[in-house]
Parts: sequence; structure tokens; C-alpha cells
Amino acid sequence: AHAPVRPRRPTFPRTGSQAKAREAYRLSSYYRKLASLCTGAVCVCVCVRVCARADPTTRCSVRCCRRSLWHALLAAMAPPSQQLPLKEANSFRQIVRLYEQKQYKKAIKQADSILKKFPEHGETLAMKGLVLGCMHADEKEKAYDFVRKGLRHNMRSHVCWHVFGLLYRQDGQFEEASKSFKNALRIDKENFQIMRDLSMLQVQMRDLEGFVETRRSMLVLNATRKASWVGFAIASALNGDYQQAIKAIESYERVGNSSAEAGNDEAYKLSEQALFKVYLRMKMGDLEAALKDLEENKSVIVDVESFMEYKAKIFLQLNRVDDAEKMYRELLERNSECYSYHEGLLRCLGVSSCDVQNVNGASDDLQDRLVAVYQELAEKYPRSLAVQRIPLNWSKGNSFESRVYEYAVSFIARGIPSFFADMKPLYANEEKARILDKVFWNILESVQKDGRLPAQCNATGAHGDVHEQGVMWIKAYLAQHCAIRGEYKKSVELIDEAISHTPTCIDLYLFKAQILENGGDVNGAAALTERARKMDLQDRYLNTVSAKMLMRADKTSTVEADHPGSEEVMRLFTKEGTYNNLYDMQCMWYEIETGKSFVRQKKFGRAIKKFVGVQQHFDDFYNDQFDFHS
Amino acid sequence: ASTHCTMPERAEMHSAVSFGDLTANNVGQAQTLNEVVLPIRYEKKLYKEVVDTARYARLAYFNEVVVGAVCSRLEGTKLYILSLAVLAPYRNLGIGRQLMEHVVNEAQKNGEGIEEIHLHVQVGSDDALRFYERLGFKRDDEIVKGYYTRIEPADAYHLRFAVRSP
Repeated sequence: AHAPVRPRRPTFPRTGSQAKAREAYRLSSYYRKLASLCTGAVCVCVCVRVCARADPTTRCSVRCCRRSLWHALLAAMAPPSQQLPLKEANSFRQIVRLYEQKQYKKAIKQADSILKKFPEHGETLAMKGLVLGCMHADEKEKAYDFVRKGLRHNMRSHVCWHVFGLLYRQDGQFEEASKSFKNALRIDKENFQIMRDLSMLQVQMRDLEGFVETRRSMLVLNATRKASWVGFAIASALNGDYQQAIKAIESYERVGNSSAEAGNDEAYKLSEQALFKVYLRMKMGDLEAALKDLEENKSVIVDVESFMEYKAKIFLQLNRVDDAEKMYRELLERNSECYSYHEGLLRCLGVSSCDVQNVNGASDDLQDRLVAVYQELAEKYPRSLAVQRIPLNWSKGNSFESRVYEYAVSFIARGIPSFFADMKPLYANEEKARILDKVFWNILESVQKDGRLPAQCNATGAHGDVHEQGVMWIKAYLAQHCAIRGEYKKSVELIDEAISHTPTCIDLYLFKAQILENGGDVNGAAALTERARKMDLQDRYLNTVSAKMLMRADKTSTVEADHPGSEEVMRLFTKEGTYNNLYDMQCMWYEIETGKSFVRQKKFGRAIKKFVGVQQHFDDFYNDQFDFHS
Repeated sequence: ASTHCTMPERAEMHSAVSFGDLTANNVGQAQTLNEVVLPIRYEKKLYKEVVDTARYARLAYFNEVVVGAVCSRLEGTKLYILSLAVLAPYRNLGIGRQLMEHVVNEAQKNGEGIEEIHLHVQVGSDDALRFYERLGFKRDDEIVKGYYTRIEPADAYHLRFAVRSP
């Protein structure tokens, strides 16, 4: 905490005498006299009234006295019209209360009654402006006028500046608002409410250094509330000063959780606090200390998953590979499908590229070790998809080929449409793409001839039998496969064969539409997706896919009765079939695609409207963040 | 009705086969199915009637893909089977029989007072004839001449199934 700042030298506005002010300032007895004088004057600070009512020589904290006396001094020096007699002063306080309770009409009435007698009272004018601004969104100009008038009459009032800042904030002008709050703070340096408002603005604008300073001042004022410490810690952490943040949390822990707010989630809060400290130490790079912290607080931390994940990460960063491997295996025991755990495990085993999706295969000397490990995992977790799929990434050559055969079995037997989407990343590696080509043509041949999967699939007995529908799925896979390798003619042939086999399979139309679109035929693609959509009218996914394809084909408006345009198709799934719903739901893909289509159709006005909508959504995101700072 | 179906012996239902209701939202799939399998093309407004009588219609799925459908129409106290179709690669699995059994059960249990289910089978489709007769349908003695306007042969058998003993 730093010492409170000395008040600036006062000037008496009426007499303009600096010398007199200097004199008053130096004489300590003058202060005591002033305190007794101030029983009549309006002073926002309760402290002075308490001091003055009691013996002026009573000891209250120096800081408190100085502040309140300074306040009283100001109030005493303010032009007479700015001081209100007791009745009006109470009335003014009521206006503030009514504003907080959102009873705006009453507040205005009160304000008007004060202004009848004191038409130049700055603070009332300012409050009236603020309330007007809240009531009518379109009378912003009037509101600003009132507040500015009030400020002109009483520049020295922190209330006026505060109100000005609030008005700017309501309007979304955060830059101006923070300037006003800073002015208010300059006048009343220890006003908690103003500090709070300023800190929320600073974090919204990411003025991090200012944020830390404000939070520090708030902490000094209010060291018993937990929220002050936490706020200061987070501010420091955001600003990059982790050491300070850790100290703050530790100081609070030493002070103790005295508050009786131990609710149901108290245990969780303590756990999060401990984990936060560990996180901060890790950020600082102090890994040994982080590990020690974790171990010490093990009984407090209820989030076991995070505990284990942090531990594993720290072990890996400290290069304690064996410990890390053990942790990752434990994590896989909890969830064998999590790709980030597999990534950790692979890094422990020495796979140099840390991207578990890397399809280029691991180096040869690692292959044996990886094969052994994943064999073990497959035996432990036989139904895990990740354990089957990830080896396809790191394996190479013949081992890759045999793994593909085995992986394909369940997909083909159960006819899962997303098989190609799953295998698609592998095509980035040319050698693997060639192997996949060989494998799947082989499978197709075998199933067409015998109705069985080829021997390499190791599917014995009934598992190897494939119903004729399997042929359709394999052809669909091969169609997508040929498309990605650029053999478009063959691709279309294959998908057509699949469609004539089972014309009721909706996925086939979507595959074909994608192939046509990639080949450049957007109109054909749109016709197909429309056909698919009409087959299942309650499928929202088909609706959006079809709408997007119609937009790409520039068919936004409805020309014929039976062939709706994209605008009409989108409306089928909105609430009450309106367009406004799409804007309210911030459906940006729709706005962007439709906008692009309008540009192609040269309807520039409508296109701009859609694109501006997207921009407004992002502004709303930013503004909406504000409410979450408190 | 038109059918192309060979009747299997009491075969076990394949594990991938399942059944579901026909609704206004998925009637498009039944329409696609009929257009592919059957020689007659039904008008669109007929499918609106089918949706109204959806209780006596059903879809058959293989691995979540529609492969068979039965559509019917209510004419007073008689239920008329408009179509029964199964895609070629999925025949001989007992799907057609199951679809018909569903319709018959529904007709037998409700209180709408259905007395009879009837349909037409094109002359020359002996497999279809055997299929229905095995389910309990009885053939009328007279052949309906010129029933079909656009396909050959144009004649049809008329089959009935009595839901309640008269």
C-alpha cells in the first residue's frame, strides 16, 4: 500500500487569494476549526460528521480525516450555489438511490424540484442528465447537454465527473469514460465506487498497467475483502507480473478465510485457488516450485483431472520422461480417447514432432517401441477409437498398409458415412495416399466377387461377411478418394453407381454434390442438395447444406414455386419464419455467404447490408464482454 | 399394388434391419423408392393422402438407410394398399413380409372398423401373387381388365383380405 496522496493546494475561487489558502493549509488548528464548521456544510463523507459531532480532537485514522477534511474544505470553498441546505441535500441523495433502483421518473421529479430553487446546482443537473440518458435512448444529446451544464457549474465535484463517465460508458465510449473517471479520482482519491468503475473500463480496454494500479488502490482501501485480493492478483497476472500475483494470493491465504461465506462451493473455490497458483508458477517457468505446490495442496484440489494434467505437463517440461509417461498412462486410463493425452504419451516416447496428427510417420528407430506401446494400449482398451486411429498417423509402409485393412473392417460392415472424412488427413502424405488407393480397390474387388472382406483384414467368420450394401459404401468412399486425387471422371462414375444401387441413401447425394462443387459445377451441386433436403424435411443439417449450396449457385430468390431460393430455404427453420431471427442469433455464415452471392449478382447494396451485420456482431461481442468484469 | 418380390423361407431378420414411421417430413424417401422400384409413377398429391393414412404405412431401414416402404389409402371401411416396394439389393431378407404384417396388425387392432384390405397385382407377376396368398389374401375369380393404362400387360388380379370375419 502506498501513502495517500497529499491534496493539492486549494484556491479560494471567490477571493482568489492563494496566500490565504497557503496559510489555511499550513495551520493545523485551522483544520480542527473547519471540522466543527462543517457540521452545516454538505459533505458526502460520513466520517467528518462523526468527527465533528464527537470531539474534534478524537482520533480517527489520519488518512480518513485528511480525506474527509479535504472534502469539507472543497465543499466549503465551492461557490455558495453549489452547497445545498439539509433538506435539498437529502433530496439529492434520494435521487441517487432512485437511479440505482431504476425508478427514473421519480428521480427526474426530485431533480426538478431541487432545480426550481437552485437552478445552477451542478450535481443535480448532472444526475438529471444521467437519468434522462437511461430513460430514452434517443435523447442522448439532451442528456449530454445536462451533464455538461452541470459540470460547467461545478468542476470540482467528483460526482459530476463520475456521472459524466457513467454517461459515456452507457454510450459505449469507453475511452472518454475512463478519462472522466480519472478526473473524478483526481478530485476524490479514495472513492471506491469510482475506482471500481474505472477498473472495469480499464480491463475492457486492456489498459493493463492502469488496471493493476487501480486494483492496487482498491486493495489498499479494502484489504479485508477477498475479492480485492483476487482482483489484484488477476490484474497482476494479466499484466505479466506473476511474482506479484503469487505474493498477493499467499498474503491472502495468511490472512485467512475469515469470511463466513463458506458455501457449498467453498471447497471448489479453494481448489481453484491452489490450481491458479500452480498455473502462475508454471507461467513464470518456476517448475520445481509448481510441482512442490501441487504435492502440498493435493488434499485441497478436488479437480483431479486438472491435477493430473498439470503434473504430467510439468514432468514433461522438466524432462522427467519416465514420470511423465506414467502420468499420461494414468490419464489414458481415465479417458483413452483424448488426443492431448496421446500427444503427451508420444512426446514421452520420443516422437519429435509434437503434433499427434502428423501423418508423415515417425522415424524408423522409434517404430518398434511405438508398435509395442500401442499394442499394449489396444489390449487394454479394445473399444477405443483413438487407439486404433492414431497409429495410422505414425506408422509407415507395410505396417501402415496392414493397419488400414484392419481399421476399415468396422466402418464398412456398419456402413458409416463419415469414414472418408476420418481418413482424409492421411492423404496429405503422398506415399500413404498411394497405399490407400491400393487397399481400397482391393477391398472393393474382394467384396464384389465373394461378398467377403479380403484376407488382409483379418476378419474371421461372420465378421468378414459384407452385405451388398457394403459395396455401395465402398464405392462412395472410392468416389471421394478419387476426387481428392483429382480423378474426377472416375469419381463421378463411382458415385453414380452407388446412387443407382440405393437411391434412398441421402448421404450419397451430399457426397456427389461436394464432388461436383469441387469440380466447378455449382448448379448441379445445388440441384442435388435440394433433392437430398426434400427427402428429409425435418433435418436441419440438410437444410443448411442446401441453403449454402443454393447461395453458392447464386439462387437466392425463389423463381419457381417448387424450387425455393436460399432465402426461403433458410426461413424454414427460423423462429416464426422471419429473417430478423437470423440477425439476432448472429448467424454469420449465412450473412457472409449470402453477401458474397449478392456481390456476384451485383446487388451491392444488399451485400453491404449483410457484411455490415457481421461487423456489428463483433462490436456486440466486445461490448457484451463489459458486463462480465464485475 | 405393384410388387416385385420373391418370398424367402422364414428367414431370420438381419441385424441391420429396422423399421420406422412414415411422416410428412420423410415421405420424400418413400417417393424416391417407389419411383425407382415400381413401373408406375404416382402423382405427388397421392403422397399427401399417404401421409394422412400414415398409420397404415411404414418404412424399412437397413443401416439407417430407407430400403423399403408400404403405402396405403383408407376408403371408408376398406384399406387399399397402394404400393409395397423393396430395393433390389435388399430383397430376400423378409422385409416385405414384415411390412405387410405390420399393416395387417394395425388394421386388426384399431376401432376404425376396417373390414377388408385389398390390392391389385399385375397379371404375370406370379411371385407377387404367391407372396400375398401366403399371407392370407384371397384372389377374386374375375380378372380386372385394362386396370393399368400405361404398362403391359394391362390386366390385374384383385386380392382381398378379410380383417374381421363377416
